[in-house]
Amino acid sequence: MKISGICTAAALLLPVCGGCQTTQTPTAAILTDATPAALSELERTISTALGGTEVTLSDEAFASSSVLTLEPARRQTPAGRMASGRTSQRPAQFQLLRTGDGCVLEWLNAGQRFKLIDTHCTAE
Amino acid sequence: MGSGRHRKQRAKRAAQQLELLLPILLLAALLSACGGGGGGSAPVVTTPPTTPVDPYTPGVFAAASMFKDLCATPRSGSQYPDLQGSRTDENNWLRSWSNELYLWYDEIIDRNPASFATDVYFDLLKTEQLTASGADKDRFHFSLPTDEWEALSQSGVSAGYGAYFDIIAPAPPRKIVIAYVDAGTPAASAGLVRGDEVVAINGADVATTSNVDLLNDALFPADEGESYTFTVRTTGATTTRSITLVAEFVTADPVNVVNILNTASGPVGYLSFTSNIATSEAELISAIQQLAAADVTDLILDLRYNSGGFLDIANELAYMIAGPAAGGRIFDEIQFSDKHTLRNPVTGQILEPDYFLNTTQGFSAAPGEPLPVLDIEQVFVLTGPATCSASETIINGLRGIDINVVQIGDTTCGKPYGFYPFDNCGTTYFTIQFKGVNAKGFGDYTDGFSPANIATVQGTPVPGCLVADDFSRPLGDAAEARIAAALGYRDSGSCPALPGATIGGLQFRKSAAESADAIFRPAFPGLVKEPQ
Repeated sequence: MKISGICTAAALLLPVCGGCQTTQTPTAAILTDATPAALSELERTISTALGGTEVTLSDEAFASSSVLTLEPARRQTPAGRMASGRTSQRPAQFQLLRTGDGCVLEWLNAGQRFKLIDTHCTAE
Repeated sequence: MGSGRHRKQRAKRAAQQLELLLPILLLAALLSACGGGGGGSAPVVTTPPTTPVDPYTPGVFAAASMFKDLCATPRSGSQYPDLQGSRTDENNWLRSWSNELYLWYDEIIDRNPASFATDVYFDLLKTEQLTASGADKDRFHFSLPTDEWEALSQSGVSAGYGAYFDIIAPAPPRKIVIAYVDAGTPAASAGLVRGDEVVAINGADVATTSNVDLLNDALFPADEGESYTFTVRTTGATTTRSITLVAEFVTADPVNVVNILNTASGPVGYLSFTSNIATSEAELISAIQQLAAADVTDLILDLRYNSGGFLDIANELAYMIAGPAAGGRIFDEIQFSDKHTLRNPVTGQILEPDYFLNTTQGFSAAPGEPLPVLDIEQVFVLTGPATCSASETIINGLRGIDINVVQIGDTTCGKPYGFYPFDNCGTTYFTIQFKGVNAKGFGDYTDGFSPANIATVQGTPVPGCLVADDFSRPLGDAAEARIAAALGYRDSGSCPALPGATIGGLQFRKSAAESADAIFRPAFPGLVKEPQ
């Protein structure tokens, strides 16, 4: 894909941010086909963005909404309580976007975008 | 809400293979520094040791930063800040960090950090005092491997069967009952319903077996594909049946029942809210819209299985119940130890209260939209021992602005506390650092909230009725004991007669006192270190 346009300063740090070209206004998107390759790429991209954190997605990720929210696993203590029963931190969120004829994943908390190769999407 | 095939990214530290790791980590570190309290790992400022480790002097504490990231076994990899240290360094960090941040730092017995294994030492770094009811004052002190704590899931997705097991008696003779089943899950497909009692697993008698690991592994599978045979007995039945459940990554439905209960005195809304996960925001808004459209004059909010989660979602729900009367008023305010009365010692920010939120926060609904409201002055909250933390904050926050909260059920867990998890040397530590108080400055419900219709209650008394869980009826059924009690109290202001410990389908939960044969509830058996 030809890359042009302006990336955010933060995104300039990221080689994969080549996908953040914006000659066309990106639009919120959902997956056209949740293929294993697409889901694997999404998992890998999110894990990489978060510094290698283990990530669990469902095969319905981005199927009906362009925004994906991630939370710590619902850890329970021996007493049956949630380990994180009172959480003020905001969850990590990613949005699937369509730009031109390609798809990018935006990490909403950080404003970074990641180009996707094996993932096909359509406007939400 | 069901799920099909799910996937799990197991490429732990996969980013090590990518050249772009460093800038990402820098950005991630900056982002995490923007986080609030009580959730993910706290921002950490690493200061390399500049002086030799001091010998232990009782009552004298060096700055925790002197010992940070000095590890007996440093993790390898440039993403880790670990440096070669010793077990005593790790213990010294725990000792100084606890002294700096633990809410009851002056109740910790100071012990020589050189004398203990690190996990043992951490367990000792808490108050040993008891509450008024005789329970441990601190029941929320634990640690986890950092990589497991930091693992993330799509909101609501976890390995399991889609059944919520209510462990009524964790020690022999044990009793485990299914509280509810999410639609579209393996449990639903197997025909399991609320009230089914699990009497055996893989042939082992649940009530008496010594194979606790089997019970834990079966009830809380760690991964998809794990398979166990459950023998269950439906409420009131004399026979049992056996089914095989295979764990999947299932998606929880946090607002699983919304009903309109028509009464002679008008429609009453019923809302079952089981978890403050991100997806609940949109579901709660939809539920409140539905109830508002029905012109309900009262609400029965079922929190009996809600152990908390995002505090802002609790705040949003409280506002949707109270309406404009809550506008501009304090929902919750955190208080640290007397060492930190002005600033949050972790974020450095000036301490300010959380006011009631009147707009969506973007967890799963578009941010910044006005919240729908019921605008009612009385709410019936159904509770039990699992009602904990952020869900208790709903009760406390509403009471703080004089909304009439009527509690129906059993005593809540009693956790007005929170923490910022801290990583050191690959372990993330959770230790109580602050408590939350409401608009009246009240937050001392360490023994939980208790319905006040009996002479002696365990926790903070709240108007209402002690009523056992009724597994013989579905959630949302007007005849279910707790719902019926709420409706009766609404009409007459009186409570039903107290049953015995077990009458018909009614069950009071027994004490979860620690026992070698007690069932734990970890999603990671053997790793949780919180004592009962």
